[in-house]
Amino acid sequence: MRRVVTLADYRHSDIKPKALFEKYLELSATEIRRLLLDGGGLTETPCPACGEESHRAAFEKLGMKYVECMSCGTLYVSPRPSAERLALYARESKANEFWSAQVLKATNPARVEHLITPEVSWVANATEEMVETPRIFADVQSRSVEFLEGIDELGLFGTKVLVNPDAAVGSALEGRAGFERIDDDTTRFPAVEADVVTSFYALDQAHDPRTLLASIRGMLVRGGLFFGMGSASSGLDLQVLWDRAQTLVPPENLNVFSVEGATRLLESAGFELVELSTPGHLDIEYIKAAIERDGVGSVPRFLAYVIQRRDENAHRALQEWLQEFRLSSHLRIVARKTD
Amino acid sequence: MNVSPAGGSDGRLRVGIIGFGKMGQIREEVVTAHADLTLVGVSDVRRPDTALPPGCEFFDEYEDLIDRVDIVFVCTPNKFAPTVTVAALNKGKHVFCEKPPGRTLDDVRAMIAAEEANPSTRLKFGFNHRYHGAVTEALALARSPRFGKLLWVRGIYGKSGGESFESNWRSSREVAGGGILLDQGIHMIDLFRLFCGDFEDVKSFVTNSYWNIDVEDNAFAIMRNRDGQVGMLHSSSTHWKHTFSLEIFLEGGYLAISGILSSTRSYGQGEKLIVAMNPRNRKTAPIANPPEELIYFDKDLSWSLEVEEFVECVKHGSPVNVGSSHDALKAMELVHAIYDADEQWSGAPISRGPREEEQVS
Repeated sequence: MRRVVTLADYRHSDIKPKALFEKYLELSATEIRRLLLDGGGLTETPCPACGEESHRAAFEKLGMKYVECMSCGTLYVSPRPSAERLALYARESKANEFWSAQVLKATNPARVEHLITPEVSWVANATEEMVETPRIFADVQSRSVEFLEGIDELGLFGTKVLVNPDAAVGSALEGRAGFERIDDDTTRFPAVEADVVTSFYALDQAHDPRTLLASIRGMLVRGGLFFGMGSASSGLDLQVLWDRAQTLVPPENLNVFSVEGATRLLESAGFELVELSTPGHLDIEYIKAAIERDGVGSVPRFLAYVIQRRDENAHRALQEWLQEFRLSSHLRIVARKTD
Repeated sequence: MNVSPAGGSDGRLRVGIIGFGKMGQIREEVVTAHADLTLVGVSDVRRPDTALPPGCEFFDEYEDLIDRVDIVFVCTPNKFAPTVTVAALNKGKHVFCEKPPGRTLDDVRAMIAAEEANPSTRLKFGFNHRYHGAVTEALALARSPRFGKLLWVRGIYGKSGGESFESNWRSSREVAGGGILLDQGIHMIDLFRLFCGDFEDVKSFVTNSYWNIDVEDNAFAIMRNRDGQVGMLHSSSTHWKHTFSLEIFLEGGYLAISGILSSTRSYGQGEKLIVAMNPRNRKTAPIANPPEELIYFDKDLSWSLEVEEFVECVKHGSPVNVGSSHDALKAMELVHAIYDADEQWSGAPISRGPREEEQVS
């Protein structure tokens, strides 16, 4: 199984400007209370990665309780809202609306340069290597018009299927040649015989990731490739900052898989892992920000020493080392559907 | 025992390994792990110290083993490989022969003649580097239109020689036919051919600069093909740090493989492929130092993949596409073109290079 290290140069503020991100967190807290917590109806759930029941309390964030799986180390919200409530949140949350209308709009050029263009190249390179004659591409819970346009420009796929795209993506690509749209609340997607399925962050948000993954598998031809991305609980900044990790925001991060949890989830769902990487760039920056925000005693002494007493070269080398050994908190996978 | 080219009574293809040194034992592992193969015997000049797998016999005479199998793995020193290969092919057996394909061009041609005289047989040579993860990924990317035309390749494959290097058969012209270029550098030559096809013009320096042996310990070559693509090669047994490096530069970026997984892991704990692309749709000159992506590969599947491909060819009667006798001939032609391009080397007697007692101050 391969792992990838990506050397890029951008900062958290390029993609999540401080003032906008704080406003988004504020709205999230309000909307979680309004749409997910008020009225109860929360239910306990086993580990969404490995299915084990045993867990320990981790922390509470924006009113939602995270637990840590004793078996695979995955962090997840339990008890959690129903799938219907989560769907309602996705549709009606003012936090989501703000994210699309303000944060994404303000950061779109940086996102295209630093995130989306590399994502398109990643999918293109692996497809060209591993799929002999790619024909059909599908994206589940599409969130980025630019990503889909990048895939279209590659000319690798005759048909692009958008499954449950968000409203902005759906309307932007409505009627575009080569694109088809499927809306399906059941997560039992039709077998479109896709050679490649991408789904970024959808497993993190899914009420039941195992069912979603089974549906994705059902869309693929035998030997087809699934590309996924999300956060990793086993990464440095999440391990160190835990509940203070700025990027961990429910219900976007309902499930935060560890490297081990993601491996078990994919393998038990009938996939062979081709790549499992943690190509995150920002672990050190997040810890540095925590020191500035919460004081030097808020992180382990050695890390505080490295961050305060060593220069950018050392920080960059440490971040690269984290990637090389799958210890950053951004996760990406390529998995092949097995027989 | 009923002998049939279609396999034994259990339907599996019967395999014999001739030459049971390091390579023979690597092949043993792959053969015994393969569901369609059964290892029925090995043959060597020395009986192995370790126990053979259940059902596997030792044969003093390799000809006797050939009679008992469907497939022969030829893992002998170079001097003997053509004789064994030709004998097996002439008995209608399929042959997997280690690289290099003998010592000389005539050796390869003799094996090809036997292959052509026995068209039902399959002959494959062990150019396993083509199956390494970093190589297959780099090849797919290099062939992508997004990278544009390939401009040049540069390869270094070097080792330190190691203990008993001077007394090893690989250091004997009589047994090996050549030195580090023929033994190890031929893998890099095979990869150059994989990416660029055949080369026409060859310049070289071939030296014996350190080891007291009668074959080369370094070969430096620069070569060009009909498309103007240039390859630079350094093959060395005085490379004290074991090194595998293959860089491929294209119009749209570059691919650089560093390290190659081997049984000893001495060329790195993994294979690293660096991928860098110039921005798409650029209107200016290519940027310097474009962002890089590093892909690490930590499993060596090359041995099993190349045998798998061979078994499929045998089972289905399909042609050998990778490591074919044509590949072997072309790689061998390039090895000898590199030898010949250095007039001092090609014109020198068998014992090449200044020995200590011959050096003048």
